Amino acid sequence: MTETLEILIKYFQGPQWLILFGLVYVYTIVKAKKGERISLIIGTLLFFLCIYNDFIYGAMSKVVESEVYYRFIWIIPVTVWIAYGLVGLFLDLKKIWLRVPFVVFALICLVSMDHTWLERDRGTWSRPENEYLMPGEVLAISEVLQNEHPWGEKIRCVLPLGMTMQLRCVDASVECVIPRRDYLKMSGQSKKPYKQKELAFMIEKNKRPDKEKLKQLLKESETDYIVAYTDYDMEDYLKSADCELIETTGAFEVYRVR
Amino acid sequence: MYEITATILTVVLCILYFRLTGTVVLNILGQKKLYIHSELVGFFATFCIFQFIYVPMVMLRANFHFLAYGWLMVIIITVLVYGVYLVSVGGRHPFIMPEVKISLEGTSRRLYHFIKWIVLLGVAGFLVFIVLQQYVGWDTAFYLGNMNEALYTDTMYIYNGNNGTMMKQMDLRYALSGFSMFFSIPCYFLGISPIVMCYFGIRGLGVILALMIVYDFGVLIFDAEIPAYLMVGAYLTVNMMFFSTMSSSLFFMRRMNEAKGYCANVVLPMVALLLFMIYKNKGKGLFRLLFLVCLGSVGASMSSMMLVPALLGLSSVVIAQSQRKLRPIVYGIICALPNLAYAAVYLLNAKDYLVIEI
Repeated sequence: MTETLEILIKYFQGPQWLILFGLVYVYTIVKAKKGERISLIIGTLLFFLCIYNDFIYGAMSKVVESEVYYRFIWIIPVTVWIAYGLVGLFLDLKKIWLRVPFVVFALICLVSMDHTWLERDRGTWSRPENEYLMPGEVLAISEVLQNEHPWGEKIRCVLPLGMTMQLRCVDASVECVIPRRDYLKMSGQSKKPYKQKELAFMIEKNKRPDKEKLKQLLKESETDYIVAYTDYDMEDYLKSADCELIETTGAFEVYRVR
Repeated sequence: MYEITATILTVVLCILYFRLTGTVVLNILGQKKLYIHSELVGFFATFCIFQFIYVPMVMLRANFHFLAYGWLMVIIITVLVYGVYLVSVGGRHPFIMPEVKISLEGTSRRLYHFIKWIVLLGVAGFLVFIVLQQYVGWDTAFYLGNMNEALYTDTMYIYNGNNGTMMKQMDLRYALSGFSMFFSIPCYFLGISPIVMCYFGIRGLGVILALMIVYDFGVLIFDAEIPAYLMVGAYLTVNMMFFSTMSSSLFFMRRMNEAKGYCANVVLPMVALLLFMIYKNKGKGLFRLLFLVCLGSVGASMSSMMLVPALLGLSSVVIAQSQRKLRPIVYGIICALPNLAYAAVYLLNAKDYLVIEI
């Protein structure tokens, strides 16, 4: 299968939406006047000839990142077009008694489409804990760290992956010792070399370097604080590397590096 | 609660400012009777002006507070100038849309109001659902990080948004677009956390603008208001269900606080709407309005620098074919020039020919 076709299928997430969009496209062609019909067909051909094909994909990949190529589908307003098709068809049914079953049928079709995200991503739309839409624990850690240094100063922290993203959303004083690419490398999403391999594996996978090595790593990376998973039970280990536990927030422990 | 209230107030003020700006622009361009929400035109016109101030400042590595105060001055001056201009020319009233000719033909007024309020209630519920999405990805963290850094360190794009470390050189891929800094300014003056602005303000505003475009599409296609409201309702339902990781719906539902969300759901549909108006011969000189929208589009999202020219190229050929003239292609190329200029700067930076060291 060609790369662009794969992207197209991924974009439509299975055949249902592709079929629905195809039906709306056919409906538009049928409803259009002769001149408009020709324009629509020319536009479609041009889209595939000049923008959405493997040759252009290859050329674009050399200049910019290939992962962003899917955005070229955005130039077709798919959702607006489907909405137009549904409303147009609804209005074309001149008899009112036909419109009710049409709406019911359309809703059943839409609901039966793949919308597993509603269940899968329940966490994103559950009742928020606070107005910042962040777990309370993140705010608590941010407060602990902010109380430790004056406003305007930066502190360097070793953080687990999830905490890196969340803490940076609320606290600009935190400077992450472990760069993003190290986490991506750990999950196989990056080919770039590690920058803080030992620290990344320690904080994320509980693979501990020996105490002297850890002391050296913390010194070299100028780490001021460590936020560790409580489950990993690192208190004794980190204390032996001259770190002091200053706060426990449930799932996380905050250590000051002496 | 203060932060949410202040954010809502900011969004309302933004919409009013966009409306005023859009009205002036439509008057100047001779499009008084064009059926388009002036807020949409104002949004792009505002980003045009903002980019003229922002880009030199970010290139010169100016402090963020210079931008904030500079933009505040611009807002005060422009509001005064717009007010005087509108009073003197007596043009399109800033708070009244032109009438749709066949607005209620064949349907009772009661049905019209019923559909209108049902859809508006649906929109309100949807808006609450969207702004409360607790989504954090690398991109969200990056954009929020940039806003936080601007306020905390009083700099712009000097620190990496993801990890907070100082960068060696400015990444123009992000720094050329003023989107994040535009929304950081109210945070600076009103003491709002960027995260509240991002989730409630930027998302909310984006959804409102996107729905205005869908409504205008509805009026343009059906020439009536009821189908336009129905289209808004259908659009929301479709977005709710069409949820692949690449779809514009995902960016609409969850990532509207990112510039990419604006690109997919505001910038590109707006350009498509204007091109459709040109195709349908809905007014003269619409290419001038399109040029303005394109000029402001990169300010709203850097993704526009490639996508808008692609859409323009494609559509201008179709329009040229339907009108049997070459002129639309020439106009299309002219409209794409601002975006292509940004793309050229970005490529020069990506290939290390244009480096701004920090």
